[in-house]
Amino acid sequence: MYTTLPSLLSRVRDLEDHAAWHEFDQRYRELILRFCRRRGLQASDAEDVRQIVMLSLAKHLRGFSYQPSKGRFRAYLGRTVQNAISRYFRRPNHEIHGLNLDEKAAAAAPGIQERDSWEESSWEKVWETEWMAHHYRMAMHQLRKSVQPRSLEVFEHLLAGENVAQVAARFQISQEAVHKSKQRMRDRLKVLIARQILEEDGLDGNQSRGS
Amino acid sequence: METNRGVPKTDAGGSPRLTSPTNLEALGFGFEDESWLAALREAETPLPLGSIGPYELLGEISRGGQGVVFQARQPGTRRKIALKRPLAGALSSAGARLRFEQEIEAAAALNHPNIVTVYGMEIVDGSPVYAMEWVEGRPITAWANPSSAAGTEPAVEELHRDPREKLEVFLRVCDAIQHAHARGVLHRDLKPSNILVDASGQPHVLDFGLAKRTEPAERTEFYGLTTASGFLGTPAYASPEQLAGGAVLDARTDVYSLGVLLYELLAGRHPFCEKKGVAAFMRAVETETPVRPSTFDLRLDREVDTIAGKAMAKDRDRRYSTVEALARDLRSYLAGEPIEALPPSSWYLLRKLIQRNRLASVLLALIFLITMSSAIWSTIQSKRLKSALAEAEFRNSLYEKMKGWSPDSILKRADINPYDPRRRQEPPRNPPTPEIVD
Repeated sequence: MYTTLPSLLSRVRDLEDHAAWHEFDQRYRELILRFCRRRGLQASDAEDVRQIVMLSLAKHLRGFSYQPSKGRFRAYLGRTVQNAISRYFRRPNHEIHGLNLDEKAAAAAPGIQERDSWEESSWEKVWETEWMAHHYRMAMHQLRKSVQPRSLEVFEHLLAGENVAQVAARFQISQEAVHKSKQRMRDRLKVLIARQILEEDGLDGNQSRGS
Repeated sequence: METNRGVPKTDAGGSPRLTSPTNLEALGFGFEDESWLAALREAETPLPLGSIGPYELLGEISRGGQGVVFQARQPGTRRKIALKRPLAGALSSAGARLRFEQEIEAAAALNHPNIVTVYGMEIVDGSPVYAMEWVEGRPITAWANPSSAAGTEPAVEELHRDPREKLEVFLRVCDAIQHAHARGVLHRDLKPSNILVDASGQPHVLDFGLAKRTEPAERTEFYGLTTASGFLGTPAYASPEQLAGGAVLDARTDVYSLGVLLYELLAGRHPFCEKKGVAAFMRAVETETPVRPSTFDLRLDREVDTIAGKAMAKDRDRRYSTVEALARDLRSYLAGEPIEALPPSSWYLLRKLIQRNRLASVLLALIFLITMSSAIWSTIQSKRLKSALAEAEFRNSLYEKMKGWSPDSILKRADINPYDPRRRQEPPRNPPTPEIVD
């Protein structure tokens, strides 16, 4: 079951909705971790930052009402992660240990004014790149569940780096058939990504739909 | 308006906004050329894990409530090790750090061939990490019942692994836990993923993540952690008192977890695997009696059912009081001796004696049968002989009396007509003694 972002954000306001938090974590875990790693953090540090981000979100999403016109979630999340990274490195270890969870979360959360101002800087470019990669992954995840196994197999070989001629020879089909299959996958991926982004921006309903 | 379709607008922050699915390129997605495939490939390529301090990370193995375990390579020796780090690393709470340090302390104090070796602990980037022996193995339940393990292709001989083989491996686990208990360390989180069986069939107990020292002395806060911090174990293998919380735990909590493991090894399924949802599961742990393991494997019997049942008793006073007692009963069972878990009735003790001495019992039974048969045969023969002798004596006396008689007088005295067809009939067995007339 795929849940749209506005619906998921509405559910995670309830801290007791473990299923929603699990889904939220599953959806954004890799985005956050990869962004941290691209910003130069080690795997273990990236995990720490992810923990802080989740704590911060748990604290701040309780009273959160998602209004994309005032600022989009991707910007809010990016800022939260970036703040968490900054605070993580700024504080000496002994200070971090001295903070309680609320203080750590407060340290990571952006203020309202910060959330609305999406200033261009190097980290934002990294975030945009990772955000796109996040949408590619989500769409590909959906695609893998919905296309015919044979078409998927052909595409997986293209994705692994084989060229059209090699894939055609492997499956004993014409190169034109491989091209067509690739084009179909591209079109489906495009539609899925567009839908994800429209939903994320609150432009395409807020209901859950089956995958 | 058709002319505006797909044209990204910008929001208050100046970032492009998609208003239609037709123009993703404006957001940076390159669907117009081949770059989308490269972008997708890049998005799906996992980033190298990097390192923790000097340790090169090779993979993430597990992530639990207590910490993350990585497979790593030790600098210098280049050997593979398992590296454990608290979940929140440098940001761990004081409680989490304390528990983590307890684990290191507890595990480092143990030296047993079936307990994973701890190499040492160090602080890396403000977080404690500890290095331990890398065990190449599979969880004990997957080893015992490979057909139930997902993604594995079991060998034919593994499909029906002998229950005795399972019990022998399980006994080694008991010995390891007893070793820890004898040193005042409870495990408190015994579960299949914490007991790996290597290719040679040796079990290795790992992750004393919830371990706690049992002696009071200077670390009284350990008791605080046990009773006040709520439930920390894995529900599927946790004892009822662990699930309920509040009780000071002792060796019997590990006995319970071992009982569940024993059940699963033998039956090939968890005792409460049919329960859906945490509430139903917890209710079952507190109130329901699981189906006997022998129901699922006909090679098992009532005794091993009883041992598993006693280890899993809901009231801890009815369980084996120590892991050693559990192991002793299992050893008795394997040796064919009476087990403590069953009442020592005369018939049960005799049956066990016979089971234990099968050859002697068979020989004794044969001797008994031969003796009895001989006695019966002799009695019958003796009776026959007696009756034959009596008859012979009678005939003899008759003969003596009839010596001087003529045939006619004999027939006459016997009132026998020689032409009567009844003459051919057998004479009465005890004919009346003819009167002798001189």
